[in-house]
Amino acid sequence: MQPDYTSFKPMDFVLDDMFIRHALSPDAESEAFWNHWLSVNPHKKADFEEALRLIEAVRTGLTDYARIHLSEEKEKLLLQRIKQTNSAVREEPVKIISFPQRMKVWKVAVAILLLSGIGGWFFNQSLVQSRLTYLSEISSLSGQLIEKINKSVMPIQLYLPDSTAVTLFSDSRLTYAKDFGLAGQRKVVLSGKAKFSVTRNPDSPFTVVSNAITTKVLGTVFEVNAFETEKEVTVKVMTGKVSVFKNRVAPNTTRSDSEIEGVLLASNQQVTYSKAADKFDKKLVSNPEVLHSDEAYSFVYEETPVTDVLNDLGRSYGITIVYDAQTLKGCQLTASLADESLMEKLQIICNPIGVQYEFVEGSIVITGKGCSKP
Amino acid sequence: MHSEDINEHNLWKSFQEGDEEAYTLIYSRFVKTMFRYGMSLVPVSEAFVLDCIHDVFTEIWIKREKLSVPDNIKYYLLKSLKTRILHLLKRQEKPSTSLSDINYEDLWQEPSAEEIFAENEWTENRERIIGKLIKELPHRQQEALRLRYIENMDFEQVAEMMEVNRQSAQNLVFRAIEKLRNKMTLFMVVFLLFF
Repeated sequence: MQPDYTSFKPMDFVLDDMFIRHALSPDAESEAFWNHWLSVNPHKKADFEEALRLIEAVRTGLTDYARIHLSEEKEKLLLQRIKQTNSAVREEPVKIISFPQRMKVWKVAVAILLLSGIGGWFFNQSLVQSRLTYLSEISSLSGQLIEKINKSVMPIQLYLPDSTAVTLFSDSRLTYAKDFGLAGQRKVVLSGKAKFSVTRNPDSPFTVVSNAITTKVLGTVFEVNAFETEKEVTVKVMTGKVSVFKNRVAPNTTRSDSEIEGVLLASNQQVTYSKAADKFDKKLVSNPEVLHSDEAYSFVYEETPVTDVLNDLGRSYGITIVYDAQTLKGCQLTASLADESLMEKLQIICNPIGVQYEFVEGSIVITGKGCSKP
Repeated sequence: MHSEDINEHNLWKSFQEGDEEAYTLIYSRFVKTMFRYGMSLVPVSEAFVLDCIHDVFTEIWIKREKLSVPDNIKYYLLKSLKTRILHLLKRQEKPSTSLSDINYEDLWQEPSAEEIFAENEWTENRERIIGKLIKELPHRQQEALRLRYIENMDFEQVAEMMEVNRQSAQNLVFRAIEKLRNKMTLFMVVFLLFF
């Protein structure tokens, strides 16, 4: 679908993919098109050429970038390094297409060990361990299993029987029982990364079992990042509350959710679990978002006490902001924070009054001299 | 243009089947671009960027059978590189300085055209002047300009790289170019005043 180029001003051309392609890498087809178009619309020649000039000017200003150089030698050395790494990690990928319910976990484990071979064994050890974990986690689901695998580069959208929306990212797979939702239990096993928008049902907790941790929710939007090859697992909460706890892997037994050590996450918080260190690390997500609520915040302020602004921020993002009221007494803000991210908002508030903000385990703490003048 | 795409597709498919020559060819074709793009993302060092490129190539080798054929290899590799860089930077746990947060526009630190003028730089040639103006733009605007006008990615791809929607990507570019235009105009006016 082509836009109406005759109504274009120079800036419109500069932002048009087809025009830019022609400016940067013309071919017979684009030449033919634009030459014809110009001959039919000679009055647009001036705008057309100004657009070309603008693009040329931008490219001129970017010559420093275009010229960043990688020497032949460094290029060769890097390639050598890459090939060395590749030959050290000789891995046989195990393809799980469908997982027959009756297969015992240990039989499959033996098969994996044989496939990986002696040479690759040491490097693959943790990977094999993760695969065993995944297989044992699947075996805890009963009945017929449904498995969704995303091998493509782009995320895919799918829905569970209870209408929960799942965005399954690249290289990830999700497994659940055919009788999902029965007996007051909604359980899925995840290997990789997925974002869940869970249908609210307080009578049926939703559980995501993934590579060392289990995430349990009632109804909320959150994301789990649990690739077998990664040493860490991360759970991010957009809205709602979620509890995250470690699995206890006991192969060959019917696993119950052993809730040993756990973390409670609220909106805009995330936790990273490090398998090696066996530790939970809780903090704010990197791009906190305003919660959807009935109260609409305009974030436009005129000589507003900074303490009020901070209270607004805390409420709208669902994050605790800690500050000393005395220090901030007398500080005012006149600004529009409307389209800024949380970080930007904080910068705009803190910079002029000489205070700093710090993240401490999912809360924000304001420190500094402030502006109370005697 | 079309035959180029088909060649790329075949090259990728060969690599997926384990053809080391195809793999090396892909490396040679795109490593320089990956390097310059990686170096343009702040704050990183050469060794770090080379590490990340290494990680991208070793990972695609391991997963080669599970990958699908990308529409555009350059875009796929640059996106993978950026993902890897961001991932490692985030792990260093400096939330207030991670790349995805540097989209804060310096509201009160832009030097005016007069200031640049006053520094006796009016004798510099056009390339350096525009280059300097571009470097004063917010980082995300600079990145959008590089991706669209040097790496020649279309706006849909630029949007994916920067994790925004297509309209926002165009807005970034629009704001950048408008700012450049205004400064250039101001520049010329001041320039003319002195002559």
